[in-house]
Amino acid sequence: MFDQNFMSLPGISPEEYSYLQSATQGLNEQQLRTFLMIYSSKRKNPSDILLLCLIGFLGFAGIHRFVIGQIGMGILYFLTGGLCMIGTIVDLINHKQLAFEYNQKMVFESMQMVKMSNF
Amino acid sequence: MKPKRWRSLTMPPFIFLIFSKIISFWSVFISRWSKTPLKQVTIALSLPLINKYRETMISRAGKYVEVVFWVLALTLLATANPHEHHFTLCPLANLGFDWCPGCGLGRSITAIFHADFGASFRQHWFGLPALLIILYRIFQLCKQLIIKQKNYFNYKEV
Repeated sequence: MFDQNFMSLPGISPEEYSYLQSATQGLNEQQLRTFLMIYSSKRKNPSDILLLCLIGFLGFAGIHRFVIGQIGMGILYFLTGGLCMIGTIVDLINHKQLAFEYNQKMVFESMQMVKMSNF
Repeated sequence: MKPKRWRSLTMPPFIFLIFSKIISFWSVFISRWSKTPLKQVTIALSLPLINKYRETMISRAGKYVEVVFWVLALTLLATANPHEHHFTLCPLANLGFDWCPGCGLGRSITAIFHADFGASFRQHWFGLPALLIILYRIFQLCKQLIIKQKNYFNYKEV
């Protein structure tokens, strides 16, 4: 019923759409509005991850890994120039999956905030 | 020894590439061929099946890119010989630069697999932390792939 709200999220993939649909099944209208408000601020756009990943070719590799909360991988990428650029290229191919992985965590977090807010 | 290892590195992506090419080629071929009205009904039945198969295969492969990459990298490093110098994949070295911040990391991890920690530290000081980070990442990815279904059920309860 409120599914068209998900469509306005920038760069949303079919996987994420179906994931959101199944995650928000039991919510009423007010809760869903709160959820969307929280989630849209927490979410990362896949093309942002792609841009940060491209910075890796200029010498500052691994910023995208920091941004999606993988600090260990971020340090490893930063100190080794993106594993001699090979890791950067792999993440370039894989950026949608990385963003989706982060967004799944954010769905979980914003779901808990909705539950806590108790409308 | 060397060509065998190289083959094991290239084979899985190669097979995937060939399969996806065959399927996409087949669907194009069928859609052209189907302009003759006689075949149209049978083709119309089979085309959505092919498209669906292509879609699921690509999305499934996308899920495994990172795990396959890390596991492949570690197995190749574990089976490599640290004392012979083979061809390099490093783009910086291939471009002719002498220095690269990650140089020696592979040899360092190989030395750890050979239980030679002193040599590992001499090759690259970040070898052991790097190995631990990569192992943790593999663990994380596997956990996600296995527990995914369970998470869906948790969400549905809310």
